[in-house]
Amino acid sequence: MPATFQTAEKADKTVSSWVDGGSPVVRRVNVLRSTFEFIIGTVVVILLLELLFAWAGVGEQEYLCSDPDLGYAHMKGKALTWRSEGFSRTQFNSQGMRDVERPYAKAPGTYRIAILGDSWVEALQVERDKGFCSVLEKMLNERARVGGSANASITSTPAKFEVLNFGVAAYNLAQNYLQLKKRVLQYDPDLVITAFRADSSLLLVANPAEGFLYARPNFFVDGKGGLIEDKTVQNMWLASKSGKRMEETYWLRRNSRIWGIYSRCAEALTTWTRAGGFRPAAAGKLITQKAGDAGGEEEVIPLDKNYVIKGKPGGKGGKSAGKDKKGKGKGTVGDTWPEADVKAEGASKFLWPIASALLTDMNAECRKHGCEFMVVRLPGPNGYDNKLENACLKESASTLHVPFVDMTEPFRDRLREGANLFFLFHTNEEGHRLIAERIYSAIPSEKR
Amino acid sequence: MLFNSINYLIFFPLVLALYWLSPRKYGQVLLLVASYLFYMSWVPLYGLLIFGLTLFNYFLGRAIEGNQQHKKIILVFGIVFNLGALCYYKYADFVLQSIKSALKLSNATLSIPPAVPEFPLMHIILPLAISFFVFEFIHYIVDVYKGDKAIRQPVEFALFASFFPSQIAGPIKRFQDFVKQTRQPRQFDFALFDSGLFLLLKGLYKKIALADNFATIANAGFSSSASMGCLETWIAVLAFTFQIYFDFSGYTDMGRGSAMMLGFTLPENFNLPYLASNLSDFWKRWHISLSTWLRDYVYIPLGGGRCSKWKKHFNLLATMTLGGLWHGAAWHFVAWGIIHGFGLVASHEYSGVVEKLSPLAAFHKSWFGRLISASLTFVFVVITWLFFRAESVQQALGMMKQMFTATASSSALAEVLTVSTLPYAIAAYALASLLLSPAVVTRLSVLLPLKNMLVSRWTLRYPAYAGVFLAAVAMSAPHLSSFIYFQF
Repeated sequence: MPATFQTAEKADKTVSSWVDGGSPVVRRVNVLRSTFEFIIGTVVVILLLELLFAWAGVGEQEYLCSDPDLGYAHMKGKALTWRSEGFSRTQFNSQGMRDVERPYAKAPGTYRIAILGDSWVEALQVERDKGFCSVLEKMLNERARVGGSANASITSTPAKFEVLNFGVAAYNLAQNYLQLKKRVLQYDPDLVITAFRADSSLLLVANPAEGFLYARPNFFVDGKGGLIEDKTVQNMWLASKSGKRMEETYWLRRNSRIWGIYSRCAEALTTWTRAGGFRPAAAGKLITQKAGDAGGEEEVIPLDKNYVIKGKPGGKGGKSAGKDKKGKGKGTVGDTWPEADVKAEGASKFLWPIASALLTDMNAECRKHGCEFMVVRLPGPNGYDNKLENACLKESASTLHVPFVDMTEPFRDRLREGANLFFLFHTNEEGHRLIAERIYSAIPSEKR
Repeated sequence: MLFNSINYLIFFPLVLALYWLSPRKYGQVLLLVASYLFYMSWVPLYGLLIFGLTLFNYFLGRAIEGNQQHKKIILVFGIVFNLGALCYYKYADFVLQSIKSALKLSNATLSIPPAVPEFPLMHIILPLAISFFVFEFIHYIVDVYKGDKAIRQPVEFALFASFFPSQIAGPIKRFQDFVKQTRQPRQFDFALFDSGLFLLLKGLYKKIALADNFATIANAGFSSSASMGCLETWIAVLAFTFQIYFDFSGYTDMGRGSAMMLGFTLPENFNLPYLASNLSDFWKRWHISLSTWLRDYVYIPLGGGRCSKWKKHFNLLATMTLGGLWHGAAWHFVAWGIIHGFGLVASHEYSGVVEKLSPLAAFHKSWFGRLISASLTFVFVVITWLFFRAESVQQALGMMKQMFTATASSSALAEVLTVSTLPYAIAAYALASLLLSPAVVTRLSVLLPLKNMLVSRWTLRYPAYAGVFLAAVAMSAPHLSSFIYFQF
């Protein structure tokens, strides 16, 4: 402390020398010198912080950029350390996929599967090799190695499998459809899988007020069931102040980790404002805890995301779905599940014609290119499902005669057994393994 | 309102600006209003409780001062009332639960059919920081009883009681020091302001970059303690050891820093406690304001050290047991206090032996002897934290057994350790501390000009402060948590 006192006194003198020290020339020199020092000091601190953050892998969460076709996409080649839920260190490939480099042309004897979807497919919460795309690829190739040597000459079993990951955070079915047409089919896949998470149909409505992730192409259905693409919201957002700022700061967003931390602070401030700003804490929560609970889930204040789930699973009235002794959601046991939101179900029903038309067109595109199409249903956190949406999805798949893999019950079965399958919103390694196993089983046996 | 929250990030600069820009006569009132807003941001209703206690103690102090004949009775009444409030809010359920358990146990031992009366627990919500408030009030009335002048200005007294930088978890102030400062003419002191800002940022870094990251590891360990092996148990306990230090000293730094920016100085609470050479030394370095309070208002009134050896040991043990109970209404806190009490007794006894044996005294003066003493003290403190952090004495004993039993470790903590930014946060903190440490700077002359340049020029220092803030946010754990000592 004394050290800083002394220094501050000196600093005080520096400041006062501006005001009362010497002739105007001396004062001007002092100001110039101080400005120069300040700039140098700032630059040195920025460089040091960038080095420190790069070493620690923090401030790298800016990984999406605007895309004229899809609304937004991964930054190509961007290295990323994911910390906000789960953990991974990854680098998107030169095409912006969370995958190894994949040439458009596939090698002879290769069976290519392209998986489309949102953050569950992107799987930043786990290392790349633990995501279900990679696990599925590994399973298929292991099987091909074991069975291939004996059967290669007498069956059409492929010699090699490739599972391409096209997942991007918060992508909706419309974006998957566009991605299929504009990117995926160039890779000449044999099977296209679209992963449809519970409540995904609600993402079909683009809302500029929600910000960047919602500024994407919209689709409407005309009187004959045909799809009409509309980019009004996307263009509106790009033309807005926020949109322009995002474009202008692309270099910083891609390269500066300090900018990443700044964004995190800004996001926290937005969350704080949306949560009501200054409000008394929930009565007693902070003060009835025990010593060790200070870091417990019940007492946390979300810094960058407002996704703390309390008392999971089971939702309302779940008898066994409560909390353990420390108030933490256990994510296990119970036959009750987070209830489907009535409003969400209603909205899904309302929006389903768009989803159905998109699925129909996706299937048609696949058939046109000689590949199969499959739909996978993924549950929400802790086994949540939008039942009406799931029923619609099932019916659409049945109408289109495409395989339908519903992961809701397998997830619930494992949760009943006490398995821990979730971080918060996303599934963990065990969940990814489960998804890979189920998709593996759904792939026609003559192909695996 | 947490010091490490966005609320405080907005609240404090506002208060700071209003305080320094408002006319001098409104300064205290403004701070008082801000302190009540700060307190009531948790449970607004409990503002009334603190207000009531403040009013009571204000008049009590005046009564003691003005009524020399009956001042002892008034003092006793005051102490009983303050402790009564503390006991009601903090210990009522603990006592009921203990009686219930004892009755159940005795019935089971005597094979009497269960006839335990069904007295339900009261489930009282503990008013935040009541232990700190009550200790400050007791200090006030005792010192007035001893002859100090009571505070006459109600606003001044209310501000002493509720001053927000020290409101929730201390340091436990002494009214004489505080009042001296409120009575001085308010004058903006840039040096003090600047030092306060530095302390505030240092505390923030300690809390969000270090303590919260250590907490993630400690919580993962303690919540699955039964399945941990030897190594993991040590990791979990060590994580808590550092969590509690950085959490509490971080809070204190932020509180003291905030106070300094407002022109006040608060007492120090920590002085590198984990480098203590023995347990007595540890208690002179850890939570200094509490240990001095316990010394002045429990240990010395009990007779202190100026009595027979056994009485002195008893006094120590009683003081530390009360200190343990003060921390929380649970047996594991009591156990923690008792163990420290016995540790202090042993430490005093050993010091007596060392004084008599000159080779042993020489050994303890050597660097190797100091290293051994400090290491043993640290290990003792680490083990006792088990009792502090555990959910129960049983859990603490179970974990202690694991620490000294060669069992294979599972990988429960591995995931947490991979995810954490802790190693980087520690490295950055250690490097900065070393570069600013006088011991290092004087030995490495090359650093001296660098340090002087950094600390003597605000043009370089303020970018560095901004860097510390950004580094703290960057290294923070995914979720912020409250301060451990807020529950006391």
